[in-house]
Amino acid sequence: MSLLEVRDLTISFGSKKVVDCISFTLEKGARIGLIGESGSGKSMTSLAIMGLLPDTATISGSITFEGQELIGLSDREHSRLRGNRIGMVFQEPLTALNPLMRIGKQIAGPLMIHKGSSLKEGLKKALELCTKVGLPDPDRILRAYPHQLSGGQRQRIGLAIALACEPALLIADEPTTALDVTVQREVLNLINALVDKEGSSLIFVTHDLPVVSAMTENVAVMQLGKIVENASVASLFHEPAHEYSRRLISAARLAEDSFSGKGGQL
Amino acid sequence: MRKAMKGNVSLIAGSIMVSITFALLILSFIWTPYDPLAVNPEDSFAGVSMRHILGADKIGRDILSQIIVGSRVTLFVAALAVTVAMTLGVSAGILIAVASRRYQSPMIYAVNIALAFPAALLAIILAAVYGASTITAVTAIGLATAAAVAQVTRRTAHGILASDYVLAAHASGASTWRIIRKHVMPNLRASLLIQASAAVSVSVLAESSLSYLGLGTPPPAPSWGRMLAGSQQYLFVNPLLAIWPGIAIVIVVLGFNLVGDGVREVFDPTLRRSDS
Amino acid sequence: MASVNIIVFGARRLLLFISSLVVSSALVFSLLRLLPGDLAQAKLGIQATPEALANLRHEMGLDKSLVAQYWTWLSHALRGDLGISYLSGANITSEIAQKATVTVPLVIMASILAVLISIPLGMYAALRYRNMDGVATSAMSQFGIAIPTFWTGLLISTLFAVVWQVLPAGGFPEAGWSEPGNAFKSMALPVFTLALGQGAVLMRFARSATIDTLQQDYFRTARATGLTKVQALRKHGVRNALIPVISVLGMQMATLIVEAIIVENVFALPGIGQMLLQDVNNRDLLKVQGIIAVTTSIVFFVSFLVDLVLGFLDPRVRQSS
Repeated sequence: MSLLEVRDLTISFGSKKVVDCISFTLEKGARIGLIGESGSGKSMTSLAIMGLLPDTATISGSITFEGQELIGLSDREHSRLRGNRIGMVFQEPLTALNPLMRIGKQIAGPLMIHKGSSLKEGLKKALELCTKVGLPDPDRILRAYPHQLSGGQRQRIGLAIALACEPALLIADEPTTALDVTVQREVLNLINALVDKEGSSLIFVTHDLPVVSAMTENVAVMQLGKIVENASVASLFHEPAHEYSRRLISAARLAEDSFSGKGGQL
Repeated sequence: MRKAMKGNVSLIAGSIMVSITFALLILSFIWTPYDPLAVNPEDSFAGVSMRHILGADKIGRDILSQIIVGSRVTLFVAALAVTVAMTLGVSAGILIAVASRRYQSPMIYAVNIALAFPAALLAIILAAVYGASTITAVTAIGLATAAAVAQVTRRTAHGILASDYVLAAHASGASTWRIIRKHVMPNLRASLLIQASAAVSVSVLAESSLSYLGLGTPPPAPSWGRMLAGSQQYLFVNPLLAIWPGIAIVIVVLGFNLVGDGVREVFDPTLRRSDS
Repeated sequence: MASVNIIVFGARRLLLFISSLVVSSALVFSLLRLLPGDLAQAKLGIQATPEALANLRHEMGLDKSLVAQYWTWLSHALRGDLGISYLSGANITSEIAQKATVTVPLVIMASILAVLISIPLGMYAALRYRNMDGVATSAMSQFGIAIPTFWTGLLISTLFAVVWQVLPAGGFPEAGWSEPGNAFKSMALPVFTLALGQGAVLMRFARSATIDTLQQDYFRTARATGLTKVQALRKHGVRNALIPVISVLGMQMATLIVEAIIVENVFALPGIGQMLLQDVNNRDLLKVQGIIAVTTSIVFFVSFLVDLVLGFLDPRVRQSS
């Protein structure tokens, strides 16, 4: 049995379809990249798996996770999976954390919700998680507020929150787009290492082909709500089947060339 | 206009209530069922009937006639006060926004001090010195509302002045006065319209409170606030008297508030879904 | 580091508070001295001889400059001496203190009740703004804002005192708070009246703050950790809604005190408001000045407190200022 099976998933707002009848499967421990430009429906797909679509969205098709059908679950039922079996890291580290709450309490949150930990136990575990995601001086970090940390540090916190309950599936939605190039590399390496170590599956959402090639072996290329190509990263680079994929690759090459043209040293 | 109205519940409901108010005001100069001041002892506390549609008070004055004529005092005071408030408040707000930093903070400080004196408190001070009158009421309401208008205008104007197109105008050598005229005023229009309608509501509320406390326009001219004050001692005899003038006040205040909300929706369509 | 921030922050607000007090009392002082004629004339009447007037002016210090007069008044006021009413001969400070035992509990209880009403209702209206009940809740607050406080008071006392006859329509026990049962009973309707109007205003802010929270990224993060929408709102939304509500309550304090004056008149409560209106009618200027100085001090003090509370609730405020 696959860990996650998405079949004929369609999401629409009124008469506008943002995700149009897409299907893919993900085995336990496997990774997939969802790539496409903004508005292609890749983020909506991940929000649908999380049960975090806006109220105005209508959804049809099927998403099964660990044998359980997710479409039609109540918010309460879905919330038992969120942060527990499925973790998610978001794009904007600057706004994704509650500005009024200390970091420690925010990391301890999922542990207190799903594992029945007390605040004290949660904070103790949060300390370990901080070390795990490579944050120096975790004692100080747990007592800090989000505005006192850098973007890269906050994204590591986001990762610590998502991985706190050792989920079977991690969804990373453009986790490095808002970060500096050097920090980007570090965070990607960290996600790679942690997902490997925990044996979690990974859905990596991005618009950036070079980034996805560093993270996953398979990619689904999305355009206007549809999956237009499903391939391994290697074969996509060498023989892209779809016109849109070709455009993505040439755009990526262009970026790489201009990057190395500048000297490539940062 | 019709396009702006479509689906804009606030604007439609508000416009209807405001129209009722003005209809009442115009009617007061043309026709009332009775002379609002005519005393008629036989009709003391007359109930709702064909003879007195909304009943009559202790000394038999017709309530409906008093309400129709009462609209004059309320709207007259409100109109004057709003004129004072908008003129003073908008010029002060823009002045503070364009002033250099050195003068800005003392002026903001002054506005904050003024905000600690709401209309009724100012009216009390003025009444203690000069005795209560229409003039003290208008001055108090106008000044107090001006402070609030100045604050909102300053913030809005500040936002406009910080925008890229104003910076570009500055860079191309436009004078401050030209920037105010060409950029600040046109972009301030929506905010001013909203503020003006809110100011009417606030002024009507303040006027009726002052009249209720006996600090507004003195008798005999009928006013809604004073009618309510008069009804209070007869609550046990005829509670209905405490209803009608209150409804009149609520229609005016709610009407102008809703028009303000409606205008806000027209100018900022993103609000249509979320905030009202 | 953090504690230094808090001290600097607190000190700056304290300075602002004190200077506001001095400036506003000077303003009121000069406004009340604009009277045609002067205090001595007002006290002695028009028939008074010039000598008697001059004597009294000297006695009252009216022959000194306005600045000197203000300084005398301020230095006494700072020591808690607001002077003696030249009409009743009563000590103004002690009279205000006595009346404050009615007004201060009225305002405090009403503020608390208003916050308790507005936060849950505002959050509810925000959560269900697409549904009929959410819209109805918002409409209720629109009405609450449009109804003048004194009319709310009249309607409520008609209902509770005339129709149902469960609570007194007005008055306050002679013995005051030493009769707590009756005192609370007399306070019930005035507090409720004041809280309704204020709660309606605060509710609008609680609602828009909550709508804002619902759209925040961190709210989504909170749900992604396994909270339902309602749970996430309870955990993250309350504090975020509390911030604008508290700051608006601070800004509204001046209005709230004025409304308390009105409500005291509706319910015949022997508080500062009722006394103030009598003094205005008697043109007891020194007393009016004292009362207004006290009420504005309270307003500035509350906004000082609110700044501190906001600094406590919002870590960003402490740092940015």
